[in-house]
Amino acid sequence: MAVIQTTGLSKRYKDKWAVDHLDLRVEQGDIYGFIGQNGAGKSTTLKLLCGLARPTQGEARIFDRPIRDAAVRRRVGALIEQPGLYPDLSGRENLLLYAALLGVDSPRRQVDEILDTVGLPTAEKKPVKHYSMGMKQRLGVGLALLGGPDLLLLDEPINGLDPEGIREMRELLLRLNREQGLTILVSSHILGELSKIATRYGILQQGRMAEQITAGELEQKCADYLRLRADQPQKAAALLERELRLTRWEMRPEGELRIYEAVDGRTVGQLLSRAGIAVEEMSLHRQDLEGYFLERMGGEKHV
Amino acid sequence: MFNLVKMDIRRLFRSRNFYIMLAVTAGLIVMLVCLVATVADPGTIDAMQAQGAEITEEDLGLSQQIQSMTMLDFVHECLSSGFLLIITGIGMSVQVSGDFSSGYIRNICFARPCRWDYVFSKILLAGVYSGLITITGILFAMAAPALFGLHPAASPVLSLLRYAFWRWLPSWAVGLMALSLAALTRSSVLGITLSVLSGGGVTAELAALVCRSLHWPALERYLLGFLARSQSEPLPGAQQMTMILGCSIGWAAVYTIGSLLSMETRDI
Repeated sequence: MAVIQTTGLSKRYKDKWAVDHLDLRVEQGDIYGFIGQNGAGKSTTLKLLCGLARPTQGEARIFDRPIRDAAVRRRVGALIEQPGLYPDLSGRENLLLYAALLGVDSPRRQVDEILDTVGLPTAEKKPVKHYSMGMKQRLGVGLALLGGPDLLLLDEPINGLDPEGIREMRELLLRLNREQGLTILVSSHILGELSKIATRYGILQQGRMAEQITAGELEQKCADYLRLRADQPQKAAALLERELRLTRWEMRPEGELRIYEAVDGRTVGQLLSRAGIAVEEMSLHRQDLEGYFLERMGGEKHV
Repeated sequence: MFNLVKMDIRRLFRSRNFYIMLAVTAGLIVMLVCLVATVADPGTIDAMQAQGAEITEEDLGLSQQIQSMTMLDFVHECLSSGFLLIITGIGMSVQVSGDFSSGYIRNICFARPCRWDYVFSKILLAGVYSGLITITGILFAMAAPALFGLHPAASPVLSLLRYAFWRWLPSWAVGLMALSLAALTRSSVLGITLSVLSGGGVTAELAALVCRSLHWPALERYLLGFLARSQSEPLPGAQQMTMILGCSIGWAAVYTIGSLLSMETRDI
C-alpha cells in the first residue's frame, strides 16, 4: 500500500514553481531518501505533506486519505526545517506541551521514554536556548516520535549532529523501521548517510521528480565495473565472454564495454593482446550515491 | 481543540513573561496607592503648608474624598487608566508571537491543521490572561491601601465582581487585537505598539482629532481605549454597559476574523 501518494502536487510562489507537478510514491515500510540540491523543493514538499502550506495544484494523500484528515494526523510525526521549540522551556517541558496537545496517555512516562530513545537526559532542566544544535535536533526528532506515529517525515534530521550522533540517529531510524515497521521519508544533503539506510530514493530537481529508484536498482547502476575501450569492441566482448565466462556485462552505445563481475585487469589485458585487439583504455570505475546524484544533476553543483 | 487550550494554559503558567507582567501590574498598583496615600495623608498637607506650598480647598477636598472612598471607588481610581489594556496587550503579543518566532507553530498546525482551532484557543487564552491581570490588579488595589494607612470602606463582593467583569471585557478584546496583529505580522512589535497607544489613550485622541477635522461624529467613543478610560463611575449605567459590551464584542469579532484570515491565507 502506498503510504504517501502525490499526484501532480504543485506549489507556486509568485512566478516560481517551488514544487512542479510532483508524483511521489512511498510504500509501506520504506525508508525513502528524498534528495535534491538546495532550493530543489524538498522542504516545500514536506510542508505540503504536513499541511503547513496549501498546494497550488494537485493532491497528496497519506494512508490513502486527505492530508488534513484528523485520523491521518495522529499517525504521522514530522520534523520540518529547524525544530520548533520554546527557547525558555526545557526539552522535557517542550515535549510535555506537545503531549498535552496530542492528548497522549501517560504523558510523563511517554516523554521520558522518548528522551531516552533520542539520547537526551530526562532530568535536564536547562532551557532549550542553551542546547547545542545536536541536542535541539534530537529533541525535534523526539517531538516527531511522540504519539507513536506510523509515518515519519524528517527534513535533514542529522543536521548539526557529530559523527557519533549521526550514527545513533541512523541506528534509531533503522531500528524504528525494522522493529516497529515505521515508514520514514527523510531528506538529507549527506548522501553517504542516506545511502546506508534508504530503501528507495526520490531525486528532486527544480521542483520536479527527476527519478524514483529503489536501493537495489541504484546499487546496480552504481556498481563497480571495469571500463574497457578497445579498437575492436565487439570482438573483444565476444572473446572475454567466452574465455572468462562473463554473464554480467554491457556494451555502451559509445563503444565502451562494462564488466560488472570481479575480473583481473591484467588477465583481460593479456587475453586481448594475444588476440591482437588493442586496448585503448581500461580502468576500474567506482560510483557511490553522491557520484550518481551529481552525474544525474549534471555536474559538480552543490548538493 | 481543548487539548490546544490545555497546552496554551500550561505554557502560560510556565512562561516567565507572564509572571513579569503580573509583577508589573502589582508593582504599578502599589506605586499608585503609595502616591494616593501620600496625597490623602493630612500630615503630608501640613508638611507642604509648612514648606510654604499653597494648599487650596480643592486639595483639601481631594484628601477628604480619598479618605472617605469605598473599596470599589478606590479600586476604580487605581484601575481607571488604560494600563490593564497595555499589560494585557503586551503580554498577549509576546505569548502569541512566541509561537511563530520559536517555530512551535509548525508543531501546533501540524497536529491541528484546522486554523480555527488555533484561533479559538488563543481567544480563550486572551480571556484567561486578561482575567488574571484584571483580578491581580483588583486584589492588589484592595490589599495595598492597608500598607499605607488607608482604610476604604468595604464594598459588596458582588459589586466588585461586576466591576471586574466590566474591566475585563475591553482588556480581553485588546488581547484579541494583539492576537490578530501577531498572526498577521508574525511578530510582537505592532501588537505591543498599538496596545500601548490604545491603553495610553493616544489612538482615541488621534481618532477624536480626525473626526473633528472631518466633521464626523465622535467615533472615538467606540474605541476600546476610550471605553476603558472614560468610565467615570465604577459600575457603568445601562447605556455605558451596552457600549462596553457591544464595542468589546464587536472588536473581538473583527480581530477574530482578522486572525483567522491571516492564519488561513498564509503558509506556516
